[in-house]
Amino acid sequence: MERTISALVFMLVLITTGCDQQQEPAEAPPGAPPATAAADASGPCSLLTAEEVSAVIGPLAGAPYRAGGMPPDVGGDMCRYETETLRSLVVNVVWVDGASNISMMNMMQGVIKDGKAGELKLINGTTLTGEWDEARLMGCCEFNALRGDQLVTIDFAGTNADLTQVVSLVNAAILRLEKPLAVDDAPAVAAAQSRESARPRIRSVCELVTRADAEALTKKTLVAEPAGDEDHCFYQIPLDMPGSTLDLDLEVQWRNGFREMAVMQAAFDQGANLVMQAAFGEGEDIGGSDNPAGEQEPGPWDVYAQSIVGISAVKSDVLVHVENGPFMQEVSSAFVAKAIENLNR
Amino acid sequence: MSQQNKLIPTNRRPARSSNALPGRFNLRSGTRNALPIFFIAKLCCFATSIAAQEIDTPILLEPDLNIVAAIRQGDVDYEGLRIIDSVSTETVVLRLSWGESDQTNAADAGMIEIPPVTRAIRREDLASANRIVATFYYGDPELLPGSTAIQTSTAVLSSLTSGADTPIVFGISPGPPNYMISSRKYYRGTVHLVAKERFPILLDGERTMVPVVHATGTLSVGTQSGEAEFWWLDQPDNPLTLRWKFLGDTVQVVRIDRPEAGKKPRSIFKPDACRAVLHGIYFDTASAVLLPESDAALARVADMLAEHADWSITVEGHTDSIGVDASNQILSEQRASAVRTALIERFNVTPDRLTTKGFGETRPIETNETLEGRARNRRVELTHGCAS
Repeated sequence: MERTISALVFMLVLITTGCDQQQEPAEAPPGAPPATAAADASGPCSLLTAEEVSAVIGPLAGAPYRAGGMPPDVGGDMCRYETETLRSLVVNVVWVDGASNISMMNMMQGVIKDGKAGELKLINGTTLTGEWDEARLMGCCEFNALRGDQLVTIDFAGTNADLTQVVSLVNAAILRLEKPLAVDDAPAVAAAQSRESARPRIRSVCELVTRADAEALTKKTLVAEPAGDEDHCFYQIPLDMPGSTLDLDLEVQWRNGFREMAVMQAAFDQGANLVMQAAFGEGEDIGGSDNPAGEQEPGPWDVYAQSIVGISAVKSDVLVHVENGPFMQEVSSAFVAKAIENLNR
Repeated sequence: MSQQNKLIPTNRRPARSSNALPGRFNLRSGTRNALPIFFIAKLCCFATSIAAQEIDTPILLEPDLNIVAAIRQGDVDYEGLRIIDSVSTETVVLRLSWGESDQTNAADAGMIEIPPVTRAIRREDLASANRIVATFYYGDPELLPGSTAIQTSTAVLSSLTSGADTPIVFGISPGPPNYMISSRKYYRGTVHLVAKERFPILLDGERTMVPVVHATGTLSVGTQSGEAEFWWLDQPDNPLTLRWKFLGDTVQVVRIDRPEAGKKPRSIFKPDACRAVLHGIYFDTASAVLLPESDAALARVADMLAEHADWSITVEGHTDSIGVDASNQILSEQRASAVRTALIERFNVTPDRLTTKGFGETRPIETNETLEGRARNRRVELTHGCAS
């Protein structure tokens, strides 16, 4: 046991180190034209055209733009392809020493799973092949493909793209590694920044569902004034049993909601499957949620999911979530719906 | 001296003392011994002045085919054993299991026990893939579609022998083994035929000349490039990589032991000989731990003794010259004893019919200057009725 624990600690250190590795291109890729301020051929937007990506994820809201994390940033290390409905696909490139990133992923696969888990197969058993030398699918939706020593990562969690479509994009990107597109990033970043104002305004979550809203939804007088910040709002709802309350925590993630929803859903599905496999053996696959994203529950949201953990919904890339287990899910759902209705208020 | 393995504890014998009998992962240089988290198949050709027979039957990819490669990476020298685990109409599955000392090092480095590594090669890739993934990592997917591992494909061999420049991709981690920082890169380029040659290997214990296709070309990734050389078995249905050299690394197959099953048992002693090398014995790295793959050879000895009830034999251990003399002497004695113990405890041989001796590096049968020579010198011999 001691050995196992120390092993895991060791691995976590290793994995963390790997995650911290800079994705920024250390130097221009071999064969790439020299980068200029106006047209950068070594940036993350130089591998896929807007047309190629829009054919998979839908019409884009504008030109693909560089971003650091979420905000547009001309020096950002990722390229975001954003649709008119605010779904987005993100491309990262490691121009030099991408192989070490794959090594880290190997280690993770080795610790977490057996070798067969690392194989890329479609549900129908088809083995995925492509222009890459090695590829790993991390989590639900991060496709990593190594060619030579260069790594292309496509995060498609925020889209409805399937794996076959993503593979077509990965292949197109990889084949462009030796001759990237010349891209002028500044105009695209400026346009993306101007589109930011069209997104729901970030504010206190308690403004989305006010005390009056909450009392109308629950038909009860709250024990205290709702308290929170831009991420949470806490509501103390009295229960029928004297002196007892339900603390409802309304959470909002203002950006990247589609992605977070997919990642959260996949993690929950995986956890549920592990539990079922432990209980019933290999081969059990129960799926995780009662209402997986994609099977739409009528409501003001773009995507909705209900599970034993709670209620989640996304509208305009904003994720609204209540995590109160299986209790009072109708109330939770009503809070989520109200918050979404008020996003643009 | 190897400086690269700062996180790998040194709990093995001192520098250049990990002399090993035919085994695997024998690390022989530096004050630290690297944990060979990856392996590379590699082989060498050696002195043609030594008598060798010609290959008579093809080398088939069949279960229990054992391939021993001597590997030189940086200044680290070790061996790897690859076993054909299973074959089907779909795939050929290779197995690489970690030796006890590797597990110990892994544990000391804070890792969990390392399970065996297997690699499945699709038949279609054996036929046509031009990518060779020669380095094996813990955590690798079992299947890396579009690649071979310890061989090239029939199509590449055919292209080369037709005289064409042939594109290949070569996935390796050059330099000294160090799993903390090493990563497998894919070098691209074209190779062309140098010549068809003869290549010596120990095939089923006999020095044997096999036909090879010698090819060379420039391979590169990013700004790194170099001249690569390959020697592939000139057998279209199984073009094993018998040797490669690239970026200072050399991997050379030094032994191939074909499975005994279904074949007429070979006698250990040649007629009128009182001494014989016992082939098919594999030890863990720098230790006297016998690997399970040795069982077939041990069974042959037990059968021989059952057939000749009046025989007593001496088991001798020999090492190559790498390492400290005294350590080699001790290791040779320990390995001879390990063989004796296994024969007594697991193959029911009466103890008084077996004696042991260790000779360290004092009785080489070939030069110690080459990978292949050292591989031959690391051996177990049996003697019966020799004049002392």
